[in-house]
Amino acid sequence: MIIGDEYVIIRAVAGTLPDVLASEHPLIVPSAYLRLKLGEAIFRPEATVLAELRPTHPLSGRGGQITRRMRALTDRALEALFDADPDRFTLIPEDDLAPGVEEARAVAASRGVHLNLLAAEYVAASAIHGVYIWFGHDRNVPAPIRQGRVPDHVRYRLVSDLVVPGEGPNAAHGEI
Amino acid sequence: MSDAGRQQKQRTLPPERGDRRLAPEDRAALHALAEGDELQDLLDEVGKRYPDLSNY
Repeated sequence: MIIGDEYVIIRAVAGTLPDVLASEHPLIVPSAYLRLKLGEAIFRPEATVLAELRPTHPLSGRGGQITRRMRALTDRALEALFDADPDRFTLIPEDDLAPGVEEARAVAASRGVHLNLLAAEYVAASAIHGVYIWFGHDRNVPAPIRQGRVPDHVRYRLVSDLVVPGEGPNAAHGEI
Repeated sequence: MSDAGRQQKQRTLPPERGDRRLAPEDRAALHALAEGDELQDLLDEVGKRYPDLSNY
């Protein structure tokens, strides 16, 4: 079992996680999953998911990279992403994390650190499950976690660090 | 790895990987979304609109 970010979940659904992670069941925190839904709503104007939250965005419909990639997703792919198959990944229930989120925020605040909901959910999930958080890239690591301003139990790794030159992203090794 | 090699790798994925409802082209589209910088741009944009969902 691992905790994964949006990148990890998408690749779990696609079935293209690196070999070292392929047998690990990924969990995703509610805020990260919501980011995927909101992102889809912003950039895929014809989508039906969360249509009521879809704002008009200047990039929408301009044929930009994001829009093209989102448009390339079929309804089947979106259904797989947003109608989760429990064999592929598990969305951690918000109620399971709520006490841990409050505690994480309180502890952080006492140290002068602000944790937004996303970062607090990662800290809480890490405390409950005691496993590594896997992020696709350094850019997607919440700043307080990247800067080490969270409790020591929060441990994370980057999928991007697994790539072995010349062997592709599926050839990887290391501690899970 | 070339695009052709990457596609071949996805075509030969073990059947137990990924969502069973998906065709190879669905998997390839999802993989491409995950691998591009665009996904991060997308999530950053969401974070700008909703600070509680931001990485910063």
